[in-house]
Formats: sequence, structure tokens, C-alpha cells
Amino acid sequence: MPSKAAKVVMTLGVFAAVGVIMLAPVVAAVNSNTGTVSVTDETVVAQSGERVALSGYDIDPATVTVEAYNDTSGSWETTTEYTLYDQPGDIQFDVQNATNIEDGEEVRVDYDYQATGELTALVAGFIPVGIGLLIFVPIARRVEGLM
Amino acid sequence: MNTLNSTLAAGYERTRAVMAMLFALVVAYAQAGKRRFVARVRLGYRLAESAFEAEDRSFARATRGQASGNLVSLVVGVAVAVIVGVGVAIPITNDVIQQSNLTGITATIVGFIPVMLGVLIFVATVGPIMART
Repeated sequence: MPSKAAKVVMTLGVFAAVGVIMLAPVVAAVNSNTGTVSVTDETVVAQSGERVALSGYDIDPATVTVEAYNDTSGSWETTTEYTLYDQPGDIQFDVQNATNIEDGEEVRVDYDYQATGELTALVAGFIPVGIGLLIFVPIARRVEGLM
Repeated sequence: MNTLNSTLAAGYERTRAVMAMLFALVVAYAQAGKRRFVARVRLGYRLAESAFEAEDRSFARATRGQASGNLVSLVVGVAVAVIVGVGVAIPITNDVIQQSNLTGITATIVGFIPVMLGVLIFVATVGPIMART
């Protein structure tokens, strides 16, 4: 039968392990959804005369790179045959006049977008700190109780 | 006459002796009964005390177990709330705000909604720490 202190240590160990395991997806969620987020190789299907929604919004036009597959050379090539609607995060391809983009063809898009404002990013940046405190403080309190 | 008197006196003495003996027996029986009663009460008290202590130990164990279980479930619950809040609620809110093309003071006020969501989630993480202090 383990002693009371051993039970406390084991319980806190389990708590710390679960807490740290849960901290990893929290940090990933905060980093990938706040501030400026980079999207690489998002695949969309070009449709003639229609705007296609990208997963991001408030896109920085200077960071957009569109690649279409060139059947002749057999490689992905950068193209500018598109119109970007940066605020809603839509893109429209000039399928009629495009050389590399055909109707229904998959196109790869790289871009950066502002997932949240700076203030929201600042506040959200403290959330992992709060979770860390939530794990640390109960452990410290129990350790203090053992002393 | 003397014989009658002596007989009556002897009868009276016997009666007194019998009565005294009966009284002593009744007192002894009553004391024995009292001792038995007190012994029963003590036994009942000891049984109740041991049962209470067992229940108390069990309650203390359950409380400790619940406390550790609460800590783990608290951290898991807060982590899930953060992932859903930051990963779903804030991006959807921002997306809708961007799509709606708001301007002026409405855009300013609505623009603070994601900030408030962030503050709400942060307080949800720090609140349990403050509550347990």
C-alpha cells in the first residue's frame, strides 16, 4: 500500500502528464489561428467565371503565389492569370484566356493572411501561459502541502 | 400471650429479612441491568464509531480521488475549450466580419468581438487558479 505522499506524487504526475499533453494542441491552435498565418500549397479547383473561396481571409496580396500545372513541361509553374479579392479571401481565375489553367483544374495557392488583429493575437498569446499556470499552480500548492 | 407476641415478632423479623433480601435482590438486579444497559450502549457507540470512521475514511478517499480527478478533467476541459474557442470561434468570427464589409463605428465595435473572445478564453484558463487560491 503506497504512502499518502507517494499517492500525492503519483496523482500530480498523472495530472502534469495530462496537462502537458493537452498543452501541445492548445499552443498549436493558438499559433495557427492568431496573428499572421502562412498557408502553403492550398489546393483549389479553378471554375470558369466563378470566385473560389480560399480558407484564409484578409490576405496579403504581396505574399500570394499561384501555381498551375503545365501539361507540356510536366511541372508546376507560377501564374498571374487570376484576380485576388483579398478581404473576403476569394480568388477568380481567368480560365478563358489562361494558358496553364483549365476549367476544373486544380491550382496551388500560397499566401499569408491576417487571422486575427494584433490585439487578439496579443491576448491569445497569453492563453498558453494561463494553461501553464493552471498546471503549475496546483502542483506547487500540493508540493507546498507536503513540506 | 407472650408466646403469641414472640411468634408475631419472629414473623415480623422474618418478613423484614425477606423484604430486605428482596430489596437487595431488586437493587442488585437493577444495578446489573443498568450495567448491561451501559455495556450495550458502549458497544453500540463503539460499533457506530467504527462504522463512522470507516465511512469517514472512505469519504476522505473518495474526496481525494475526486479532487485529483477534478484537476485532470479541469485541465482537459479548459484545453478543449481553448482549442474550440481559438481554433473555431475566433476564425469564424473574423471570417464573418471580413465578409460583411462593415465600416465606421460598427466595424470598430464588432472588431472587438474576437478580442473579447480571446479575453474570455484567457479568463477561463486563469479563473480556476484564482478560485482555488
